[in-house]
Amino acid sequence: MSGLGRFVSLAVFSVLALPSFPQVASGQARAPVGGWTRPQAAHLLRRAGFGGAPRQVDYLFTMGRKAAVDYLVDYESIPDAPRRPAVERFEPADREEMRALSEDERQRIRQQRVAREQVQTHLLRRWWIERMVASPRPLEEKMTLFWHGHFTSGVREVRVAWYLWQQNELLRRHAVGNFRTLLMEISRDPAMLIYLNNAQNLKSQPNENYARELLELFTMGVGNYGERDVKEAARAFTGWSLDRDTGEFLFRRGQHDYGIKTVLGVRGNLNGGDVIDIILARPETADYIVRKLWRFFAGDEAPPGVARSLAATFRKNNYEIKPVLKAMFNHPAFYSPKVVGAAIKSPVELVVGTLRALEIRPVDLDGIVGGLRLMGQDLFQPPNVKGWDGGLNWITTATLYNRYNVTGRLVSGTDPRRRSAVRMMRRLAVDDAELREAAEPTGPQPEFDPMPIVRGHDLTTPEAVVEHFLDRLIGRPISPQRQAVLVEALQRQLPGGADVQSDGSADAIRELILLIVAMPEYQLS
Amino acid sequence: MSDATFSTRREFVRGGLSLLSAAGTVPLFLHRTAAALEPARAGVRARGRAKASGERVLVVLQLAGGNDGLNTIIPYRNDIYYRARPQLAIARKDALRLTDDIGLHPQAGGLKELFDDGLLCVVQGAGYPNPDRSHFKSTDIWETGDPSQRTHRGWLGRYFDCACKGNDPPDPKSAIALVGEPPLALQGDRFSPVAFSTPDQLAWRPGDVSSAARHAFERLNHPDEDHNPDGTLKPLSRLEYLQRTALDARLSARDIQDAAGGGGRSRIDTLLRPRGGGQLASQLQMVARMIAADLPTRVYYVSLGGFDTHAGQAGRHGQLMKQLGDGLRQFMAELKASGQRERVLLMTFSEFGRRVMENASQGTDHGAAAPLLLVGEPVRGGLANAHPDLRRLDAGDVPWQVDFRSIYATVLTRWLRADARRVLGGNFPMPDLLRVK
Repeated sequence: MSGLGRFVSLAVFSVLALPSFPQVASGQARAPVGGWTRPQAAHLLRRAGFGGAPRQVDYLFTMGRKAAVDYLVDYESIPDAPRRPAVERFEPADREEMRALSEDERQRIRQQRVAREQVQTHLLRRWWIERMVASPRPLEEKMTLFWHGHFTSGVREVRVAWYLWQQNELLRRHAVGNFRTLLMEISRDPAMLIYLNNAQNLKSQPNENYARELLELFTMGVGNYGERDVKEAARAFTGWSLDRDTGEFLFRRGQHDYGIKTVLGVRGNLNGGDVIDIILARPETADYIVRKLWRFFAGDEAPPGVARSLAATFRKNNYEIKPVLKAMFNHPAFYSPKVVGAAIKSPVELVVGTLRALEIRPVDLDGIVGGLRLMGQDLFQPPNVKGWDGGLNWITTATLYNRYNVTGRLVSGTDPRRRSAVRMMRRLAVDDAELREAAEPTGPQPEFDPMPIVRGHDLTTPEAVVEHFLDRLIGRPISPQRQAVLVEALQRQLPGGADVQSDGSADAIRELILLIVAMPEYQLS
Repeated sequence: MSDATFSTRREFVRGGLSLLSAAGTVPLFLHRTAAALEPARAGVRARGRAKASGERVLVVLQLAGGNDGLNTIIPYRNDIYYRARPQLAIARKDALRLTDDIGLHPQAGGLKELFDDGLLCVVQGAGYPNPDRSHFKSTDIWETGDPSQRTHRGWLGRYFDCACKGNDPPDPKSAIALVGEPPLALQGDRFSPVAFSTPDQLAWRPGDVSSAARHAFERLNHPDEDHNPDGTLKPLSRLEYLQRTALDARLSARDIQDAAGGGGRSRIDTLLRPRGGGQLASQLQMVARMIAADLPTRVYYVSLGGFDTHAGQAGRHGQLMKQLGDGLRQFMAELKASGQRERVLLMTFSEFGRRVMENASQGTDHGAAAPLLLVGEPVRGGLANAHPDLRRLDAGDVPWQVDFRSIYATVLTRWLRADARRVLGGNFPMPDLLRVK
């Protein structure tokens, strides 16, 4: 038990620890019901959240599966007091005033806005990463990330950080709520209205972009509707716009097409809300969404029987999301060998998971933001409206070493002299002093000190050290030969051979961790 | 095919770590491709890096988002065009004149020069029947060469699949994509290309670590035997796939360095560091250098995005036209300077053109057929065919008049000397777009 004191002190700097976790010593936990193992609890925490430290796994293990799932899904009861990002809404420039200015002055104002929004978006990214690392409600963030990849919007198109933050909060608010409500809200969301051009969808000249993606990507999937349905649905959404002065949804009556439309065989004077209800009446929609959820959380295609039963659950519960999540996390197929240890971690899972498993506070957030971009998951800028494809698509000759290197820098620390010049310049281009200060570059990531863990868990041999960090980081057995490679590497580096708890062992153990996070096994969850 | 003939990842796996740690003295990567693509060479036990001198190279340039073909190749005497686009049409006086009725976007001066030099061939109205207007579907269709959307492999990936002999997939360096994500066009059943956008992406950089750690790293990122005892390939688990990818990345990085004529990180950084100009120009510059460095690469893939101009099209499209023209012109100039121009053919594609009628936001929505450009010495310069008839639109869009697969067939047969029927799964007429036989 001597280790727990240390964990508590480690947790002081953040809310990393799920706060209501009782103190259960690692290895002493017992499952209250049969058929629930500690590796399964670790698997659940990795998938429904971002993984965690051994005592957090123990906590879920001790609860039993059903209670553990409820704990993660019914997260509203867990207190959370997040701070807000340093993002402000800047009023659009007054047209009259702009007209009075010279072209040079107008140009300067426009450039100023661009720089400001870029810097704000950067702050938004920092903020979300910190939140994912620190939130006591990991599923809330995981589902927000899911919806961000589903109802995509990107800063390149939206250009206003405030709208992206509002959308992010909308997705979080309804993350495990009702899918119909979420669809209605997202159809009125300023970032979405801009991203998919519905703000420009006018009676006289319909813009089909939103209607098409609503059918193709957000609800039914390709092949379940025709070109004509797209055109007619677009008419139903005409006039759904935003007011740039207030930053809110605005229905422009004069731009709305009140004529008769036919969408998926339903005829009438339809508006956007009607189209959403028509879509939700189709069985393809529930099927499409639960399959996507399964792919995201299980990392594989849903077996037909599983998809059928989850879709039925979704429809039976009027598109409430929680029952589907609970059914999914309680399903035996979720713990099958096809699922456990077989999903490729997304870059966010990789980074946030490493920080949570080792209880590292993210300091060099600028480095993490850039790292995520390199690995192909630039938050608030999905590659396109389809979001991130995920799975094996994360792994290419280009991204694999980025994954090793970005993760490695969380452990080895970052060089304080290496700063992105671009980042500095963008910040300096902003004339708002407060914002410039908020965007002060983050400090270097300190070298990770493994010794508190080694001593806290009273690890005394190289074998025990390897075993512990493999369990903490990978959480399932790897081949004995490969484990032996790690033990051998550690033994060679330990000074004088013996005492792994002496300060002199820190470098060798850190190298061991660097090796583990650069293992193909670590790419899998 | 005997084991000895192919010097491959398989031998590499068997040869194991001694090869890896002997970097610099033992050739690190043994080229399946040269052997696989040219049976005559297959007998040569080239245990060194096979020079690819004289091999023909195809560069594929994706214009992502759906390029507005009508404002690229402009029918400047067509009233239908001007009526459909009161705000966006390029004025007759501004179009860069190619013929009596066809002109180029005014900012595509680079393309005009190439046209005048006989280095640009324009295929008008390239598309396919029942066009799909979704970015993703239509991109997939162009990349797979399969409008029925039954195959999930790329047309060039299948070309490399077909080119491989025995049980060994071809060298991944046969195709290099200068994009973060390997494009579907280059994915085969057994072939997967090298993809990267900066050289840092191809090496483990853990900082100051011991040699024991480096050694362990290589062992942990080394694939286990990937063949069954009878010589067939094992199906890959995800873990094995990761191990292979790690190995491929490591070997490719070293090979690219070798090709440039020297080791060391600074060399590869110099080789790949983009210089001034637009994003496309720097990508093409990297390609030109890699071609000059004589890598065993048959296909390069680059991508220029931003063509999805639903709103405020004019300024943005103009910049893209400038990037495109300037980039291609510089690319041809660099290839000429390095004496490589005659062995390079570049082909553009875009998932679709845009609607003939402009929308209310000074933009254009997703359309159908559009012009496709072939660039280089091997092309038959000029307009390959007439402008599509705007009186006969297909649901408001430019109708297709050349099936893009017949352009692929020409390129595969006449340029890559491949069996187009096998790759494309059917016979397509082959328009005479190239000067080579």
